[in-house]
Order: sequence, then structure tokens, then C-alpha cells
Amino acid sequence: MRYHIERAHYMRFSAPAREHHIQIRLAPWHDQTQSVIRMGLKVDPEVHAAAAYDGFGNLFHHFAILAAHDELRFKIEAEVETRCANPFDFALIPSERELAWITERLHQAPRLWDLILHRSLMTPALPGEIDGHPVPRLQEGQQLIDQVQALMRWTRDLIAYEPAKAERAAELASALDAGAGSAEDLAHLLIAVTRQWQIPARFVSGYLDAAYFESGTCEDGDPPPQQLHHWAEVLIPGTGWIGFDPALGLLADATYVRVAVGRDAQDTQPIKQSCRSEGMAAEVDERLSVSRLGAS
Amino acid sequence: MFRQFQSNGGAPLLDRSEGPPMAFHEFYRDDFRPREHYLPMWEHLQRVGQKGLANKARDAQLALHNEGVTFTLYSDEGKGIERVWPVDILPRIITAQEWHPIEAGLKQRVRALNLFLKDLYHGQHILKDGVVPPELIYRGKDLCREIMDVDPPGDIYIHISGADLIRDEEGRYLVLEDNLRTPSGVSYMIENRVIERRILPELFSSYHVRRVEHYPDLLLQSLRDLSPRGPEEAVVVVLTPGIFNAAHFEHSFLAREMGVELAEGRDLVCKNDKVYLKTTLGLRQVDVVYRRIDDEYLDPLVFRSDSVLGAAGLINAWRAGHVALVNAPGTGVADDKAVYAYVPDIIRYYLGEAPILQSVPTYQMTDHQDRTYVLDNMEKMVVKAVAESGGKGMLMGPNSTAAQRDKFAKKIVEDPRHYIAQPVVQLSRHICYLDGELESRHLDLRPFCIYGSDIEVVPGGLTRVAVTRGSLVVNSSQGGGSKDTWVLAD
Repeated sequence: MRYHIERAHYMRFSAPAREHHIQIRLAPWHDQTQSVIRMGLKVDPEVHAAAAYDGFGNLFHHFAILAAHDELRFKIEAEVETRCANPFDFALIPSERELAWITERLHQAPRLWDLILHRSLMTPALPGEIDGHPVPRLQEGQQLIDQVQALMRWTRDLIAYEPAKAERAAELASALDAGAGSAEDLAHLLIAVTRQWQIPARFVSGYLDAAYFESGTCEDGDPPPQQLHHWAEVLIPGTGWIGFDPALGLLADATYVRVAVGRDAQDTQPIKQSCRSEGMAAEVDERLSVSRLGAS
Repeated sequence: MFRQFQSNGGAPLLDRSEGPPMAFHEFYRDDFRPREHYLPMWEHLQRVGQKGLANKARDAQLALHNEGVTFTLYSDEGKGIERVWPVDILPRIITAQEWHPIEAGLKQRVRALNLFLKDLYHGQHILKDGVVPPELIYRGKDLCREIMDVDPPGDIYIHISGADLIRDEEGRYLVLEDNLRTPSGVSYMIENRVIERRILPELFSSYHVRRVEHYPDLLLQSLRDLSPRGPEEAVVVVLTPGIFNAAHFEHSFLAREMGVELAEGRDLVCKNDKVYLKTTLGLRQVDVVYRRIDDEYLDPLVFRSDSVLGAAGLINAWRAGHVALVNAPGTGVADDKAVYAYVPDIIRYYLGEAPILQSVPTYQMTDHQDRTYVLDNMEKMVVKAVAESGGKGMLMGPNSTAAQRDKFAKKIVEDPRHYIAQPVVQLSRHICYLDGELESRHLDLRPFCIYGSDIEVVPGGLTRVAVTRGSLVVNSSQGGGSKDTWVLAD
């Protein structure tokens, strides 16, 4: 599928800001599963923006406005072609060989250990059971992909997805206590369990096909505004990274556009900024538009 | 154990310390005669006598006070207390034969650890080959994900290092810690030398002592050589956290001696992946930042977002190759106390050589067998938290109470990756002039290495002294003192 993506950001400061540095992770990935056909970034006031890749392979842009300014606008536009029509389109390997496959991958790419061993307040070590729900254990003789799908359902039993809740909980424990949370919270829970199974899992930020928002899941019935979505990817034997979206209960396919990956949401923060003045972003407006350009 | 000097008037000079008999003594041979290279010093002490020594000690203290040679001690409430730098006037003397293996061993170690860092932040072959367990690296806190695949200028990460060396009971030099982040102490090494030359000129001239005072010149040259615009154009700054930092004296000392600007984060600004110093004549591009602040405070865009000590954009400028950061970010992973145990294997892996300097045997608390042994023998162990330095987070088993040992045992069981244990090594001892008496105290040695076009080990270092009788804790932050270190020419 081919998408046109436009992400616009506006900030208005209560007092002039200066020495304002911005780093954004909003550009789609370019890899086997999706191609960036074109991409551009515009900043107002006009400044030079540079791009680089971070330690997780995410493309990020950064720019600085040194002079005092009250407003800042930037817009990233991209055209992307996604190719994952069917996430099940791969040859399963026998379940008894799956762990050996993971071990071999860890041997070839030690960086994957980060995605097993990392613990944080968002992806903590979990107890044996949570609110009377036993935390699933990895079962011998069952395909991992099936077990992760079952895990998605378990995740949704513990944390009800609230699409309007844009912010993640500072700690996974808060979302578990509330019994409800954002897509980030659900992804973090799925990742925390998968890591306990010693299976690499990573957090993903990205864009969704507009159709997911047009179905209207807001309480007032209006279609909610499009926003950055979050899911998890798990290393599945026989293929590689497969996206699992516990918030929507789906496997990520060509309607999902990957933007940033990391150990947890901290690594994929879409915007990081620093300025030396007293001015804070008093007013912020973010707009996202993902539109399908027709079948490819 | 009483040692009596012939004194030249006044009370006899006595070494009355009751240290452990197995500790190596730098000054005395086993028959309690001074070692050969200490004989001129021994004779000099006899000539000077107690009264003369007392005068010299007072003069040294006065000179340090007048010249403002200070360091900051932090109280339990976190308040900084500025103290005059404590120097014992009796120098430590190291012969050329002793020094050669130290120099060769440190060069070897720094070269191997630098290759280790290059590998960890790129291909990770040492992990793939199973020489260092990947879990050890990824369970630690010091791997800097933000600099993965970035090439620092000249592939050098560890420009400045200051390993802590100790001598075991047989007098062998062992590396206790590698100190690859922002090691302090070099300014005191130089100040100690300046004082000694002034206070003991006759003794100093009776030995052929190698120079250490040229360290700032060596440092400046190696910093200039890193400049992306070439050494002639190089603008170098020393980046300090500010006047409240314990090592601020050293930061200002080095900037002054090198003739470069001492900057705080707010004095720097980054634009278009370049770093600039704010001056009264406008922005001036900076080529090399000798940063004396920790990684996590360097750049709020990349590390701690609440840091006001660094400069936003610094890491991107470094990544783009427009500025050199000294040391490079991310060196802490090779300085982790749990990784330390693997340094001999790291040397063999990258250099194909046997380690010249030995390490202290280290028990990994993640290893079941090691952990069981340590928990059963806590009173014989030094337990260290891998993320702490300066003598903090440490249990000295022989001096500990049962309650302290229980507390550490609990911590080890809860978080084994963050503790290591080592058998207690009786640090060597040396005579010191303390409160009008000659007494023996334990000490260590921190020589400094500069990795530029080649690796240079400055012949000398900071000898740190545990001032409290019997204590093995030499850290300045824990009240330790110091000595000038004389390395003799061939």
C-alpha cells in the first residue's frame, strides 16, 4: 500500500524562547517491509535540519533556532509504500526448534540481548500473577506466534484500551492498577511478558491507516483525530520481527507504518527539545494525516 | 613494630604503626633496612632531623594554602567543604626497572580496552565469540546505546585514563581499577611535584627524577591533534560542571596551564552540528571539548533531559565529526567493575599477548559458585557496587560489622549484577610524616595515560595515602592524603 503522511507540529511560547534545540523521530523506516519514496521536512523559522540514525536504527532529524522566537512550526511529509500484506506469510519452523533459532540469532546479533534484558518502570520484571491473573509462561510444543497472540488477548484483559488516552502511564504498574491505558501501556505489558520468556521484543511507534480512526471509537461518536500509534514487535522464529498490536488486537500488516523502535517508549520519543529561555510550550498543536494513495 | 631513626636534635623519629606484617613495605626491606633506592632519602632524613622535617611540613602546608591548592569533601548532608590538598612531604620513589613494566602494562591495557570499546559499539565480535558474555554488557548500566556505530576521531575513545595500581604482599603491581571516564588527580600530581622541589630541593637534586610537569603540554598537543580543522586552527575548551564540583580546582588548573578556555555548558552553543563558544567578540567555533562532566549530563537532547551542565546538540556535533569529545562518550562500559574481571581475556583477544600487569582476582556475583563463596566469606572480602566510585558503595569485610555484612549480602542476592567481590589485598605501605612522627600507611598509585598519536604514560602519578592507621581506603573523598611520586631515570 502507498501512503501520504503529513505530520505538522505547532508551538507557541508564553515568553520568547532561544537556543531552542529540537530532535524529532517522526520519519518512517526504510527497510524490507516498507520503502520511503520521498520525504521532506520544513521548519518555520527556516533553519538547516540535519538527519542521522540512532543506536536502534531510527532516522531522526534535528535543528536549532538560536534567536528568540515566539512560535515554531515544522512539518514532515513522506510518501511510503508498505509491503507486509500478510504477516502470516512465512514458513513456520517446528516448535521444538524455535528456541534454538532464537539462540542462534542472539549469537549472530548480540544487540538483541538488549531487547530481552532491558527492564524499566515501563517494562518491569513481572510477578507470577497480576490481580489474580497468572502471568502466561512460555509453553513447550506450541508455536511462539500462537502464544504471543494469546498473550495479546491476556494483555487486553488486564488493561482495557482507551484510544483517547494519548499519554502513557509513567509506570506500567499505574496502568495495571487503573485497569485501562493507552496503546503504549498495552505494548509495554506484552513486551514485559515476552522478555520474561527470554524472547526479544521491542517497542514500536508508527502511523496507522486512517481507516482505523474513521471507524469512530470516541465516546462522542466523532472519529478521533489521527495520532501516532504504538505496538510491539516480537522476534518470531522462521521469519523475524512481527508486529503485535495488543491495543487493537491485530498483527501489524501493510496498514501499519513503522517510525521508531526501541526498548520502550523512552527510546522512541517523537520529540525531544531543550531551550535556555524561560518560555515553555504554552500552546501545542499536532496534526497527523495518513491517507492511502491507492493500491500499489 | 618500632623503627627508630637517628635524629638530628629533638625527639627520635619513630615508625610506630602496627600495620599487618604481610603488607609489602615500599621503604623497608624485610630486614628493616631501607631499600637501596631509598638510602639517599634515609640519609637526608637523618641530616634534617625531626625539627627540620616539622618545619618543612609546615612550609609545604603553608605553600599549598597560599596557592589555593584545594579539593572539596562532601559531607553527609551533601554540602561541599573545601580543604587544603593534603600532601605528605616524604616522596615515594620508583626505580626505572620497576617503572618499565608499569608503563608497558598500562599501554597494553589502554590499547586493548580502546579496541574493546570500538568493537562493542560496532561489530561486537568479542561478544559473538563468547569471550565476554553479552548478558554482562547488556545487564550493566554503562553501554551507551546512543553512540552505537558512531566513529570517534582516530577511533580513540579513551584519550585520558588514570588506572589505580596497588602492590600486593609480594610487591607485584596489580591494576585495581582502570578509570576510563574522567579520572581526576593529575593537577595534584603536578602540584605535589612543585611543592616537593621547593621543600626538599637537596633531596630532589640527589635523585635523577623524571619530569611530570610537562603533562599539560602533552595533553594540549594530543587535544589539538584531534581537531577536525587541524591542530593549528584548534580551539580547545575544558568543560566543567562548575565551581561546586569536587574537581573544579583541577578543571581550572588544566585550563590555565594549557592556556585554553574553561567553559560551563551555558558558555557553549551548538548550531548546524558545530559547537561554538560564546565570547564578547561573538561565537567562536570549538574543535575539541575536554569534558569533565559525566556522560549523562553532556547533552539534554540525548541523555538526561533535565541536565543544565552540558550543551544541547553536543552529541550530534560529535557524531557529525565537527568536534572531538575527550573522553568519548560511552567509555564507562569498559570501566565497569564486573567487566574488569575480563580485562586479561580482552587483552589476549585483541592483542594476542599475555597481560603484563595483573588484575586483582574478582568474584562475579552473577556466578552461583562465586556468589556462594563470597556470601560464606564476607569478612575476608571487599564488596563493591559496580556503579559506584570514590570508595562509596563498598564493604571492607575485615573492618565490617555483622549488620553491615548482612546488609550487603541482601543487596548481592537482590541484584547480583551490580556487585563484585575481591579478596582483601593488603596495599603496600610507605613511611609518612604525620603529626611529627614517621608512621607507615597504605597507599596506591594512579599514573595517567594520554592516548594521542601514541600512548604516553606520564612517569609518575598520584600516590594516594590512607591517612588513618590501618585503613586501606585511600580515596581523597574519604579523607585520604597524597605523596609526590618520583620515577627515576635509567
